Amino acid sequence: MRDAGEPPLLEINIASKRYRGAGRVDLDVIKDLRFSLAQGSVTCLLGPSGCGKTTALRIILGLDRKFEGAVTPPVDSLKLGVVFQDPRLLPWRTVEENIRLAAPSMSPSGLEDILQSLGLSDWRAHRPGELSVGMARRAAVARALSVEPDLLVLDEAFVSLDERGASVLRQYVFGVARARGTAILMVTHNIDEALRHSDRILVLAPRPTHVLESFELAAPLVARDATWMETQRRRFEQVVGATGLPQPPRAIASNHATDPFW
Amino acid sequence: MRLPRFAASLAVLVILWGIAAAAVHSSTLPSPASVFLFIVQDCLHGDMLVNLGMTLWRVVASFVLAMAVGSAIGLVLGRGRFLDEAFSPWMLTLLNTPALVITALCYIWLGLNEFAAIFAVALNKIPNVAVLLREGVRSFDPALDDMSKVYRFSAWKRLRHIFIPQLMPFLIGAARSGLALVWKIVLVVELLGRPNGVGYAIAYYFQLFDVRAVLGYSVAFSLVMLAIEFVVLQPLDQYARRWRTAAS
Ligand SMILES: Nc1ncnc2c1ncn2[C@@H]1O[C@H](COP(=O)(O)OP(=O)(O)OP(=O)(O)O)[C@@H](O)[C@H]1O
Ligand SMILES: [Mg+2]
Repeated sequence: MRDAGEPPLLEINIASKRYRGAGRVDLDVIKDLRFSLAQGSVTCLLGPSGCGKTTALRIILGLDRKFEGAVTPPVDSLKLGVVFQDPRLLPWRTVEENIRLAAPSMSPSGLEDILQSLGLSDWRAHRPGELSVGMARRAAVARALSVEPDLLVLDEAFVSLDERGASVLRQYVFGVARARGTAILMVTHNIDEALRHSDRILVLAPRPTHVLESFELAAPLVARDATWMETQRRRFEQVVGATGLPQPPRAIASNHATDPFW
Repeated sequence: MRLPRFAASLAVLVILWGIAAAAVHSSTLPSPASVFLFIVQDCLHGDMLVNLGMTLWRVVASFVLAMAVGSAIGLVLGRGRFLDEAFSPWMLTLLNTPALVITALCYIWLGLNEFAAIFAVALNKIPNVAVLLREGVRSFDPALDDMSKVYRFSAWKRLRHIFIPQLMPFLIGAARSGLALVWKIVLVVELLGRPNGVGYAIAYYFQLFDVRAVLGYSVAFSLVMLAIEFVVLQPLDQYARRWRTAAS
């Protein structure tokens, strides 16, 4: 999966990011957030609610240039696929048009394939307003994969789905990305999701955020069975415990952010 | 409103008018029938069609000019805070200048010609369009902006698929309120300095104290504007909102 000799896909170095607040109180959101993304690797950001994960993603995606530091090479050189925290489809376009607008060069059979796999075939001609929350999210996922990105960014892409639906969707997304060698940067509050699919979990500090711990997961995906998961979970809890943060929720059912801290 | 109900409501108004006219029984309030008769006769033998045509042309020309220039100004004001602060007071001043003043000045400065007339009408409407469109731009969803940048939408694609759909309700709002305003101002402008058009005709018949003709012209042109509302504006509005109906 990862080759030590290869240069990283992205080198992220955010020295400082602050929002100009109302009433002259600035909000320090990020302070010295540094990590690199290896080619084809899956990196997971796990941090308390409101610590600045979405802010960091926007910077990495080149959407926010008001920060100190650098993201190299310039992200403009990469093809990006993003599943935002909300589906963010154009309400006035159909599912198919939404996908085509992002991926104009996609072949008809490729489109067919992805719609089929995500259970959207019957909904291709519908507009987002007619979709359920889960379907809208799948449409956003379809759009992100359709561009065949170099980097796929998932900002809590699997919340507000039932666990079975979420798990099917995860299998598909990570399966496709791994097969293509697409690098993934994802934000989640779900430890099991992070343990099962990523190569590395970066534990982020509360605001102003930075990397507290880098938790490496070297085991091949096929070896990640129930006992492995349990061992890693315990190991991970120790690592989090050592940082002084409260333990994030454990259960698989924590797709829904129930914990006010995480 | 749907056309049948709209027509029913208008029919009631005409009936009330008829009753009032019968009660008063005076040449200052002619009956609906005699007014409609005048419209038909003047269309066939008089200048009605020419006057309606001239006014309609002025309405359309000044409306298009006002929408184009007003939208452009609105977009710029909505995008840049500095420009907004610099020019919004101008807009406000223009918005509060009486139509009569703008018209008189245009005729004095540009001459008693067609261009001055159309320009004067447009100038009355431009600040209104600009203010509406500025609000439209301010209501843009930044989330969609992010999405379009990530997926590398070209400038044209962003305009067509992100900006215009979001502006559409504001554009149509400006168009509908605009048309009503524009045609009233066109009449004033014609009255002051044009040798034809509905405004000119009404002024002429007013001097003769011919209430039947005054009402005839006003009703005839109102009918033209209602036709435009139902044939052009409402279908356009429905088309622009088609994706909303399903959302509930
Ligand atoms: N545009 C903005 N202007 C001012 N403050 C902002 C802005 N966007 C975010 N913030 C603030 O910055 C902090 C970090 O927000 P961000 O959305 O990055 O958090 P997050 O880690 O993604 O949280 P969550 O897990 O709830 O999604 C929050 O306190 C938020 O209120
Ligand atoms: Mg977030």
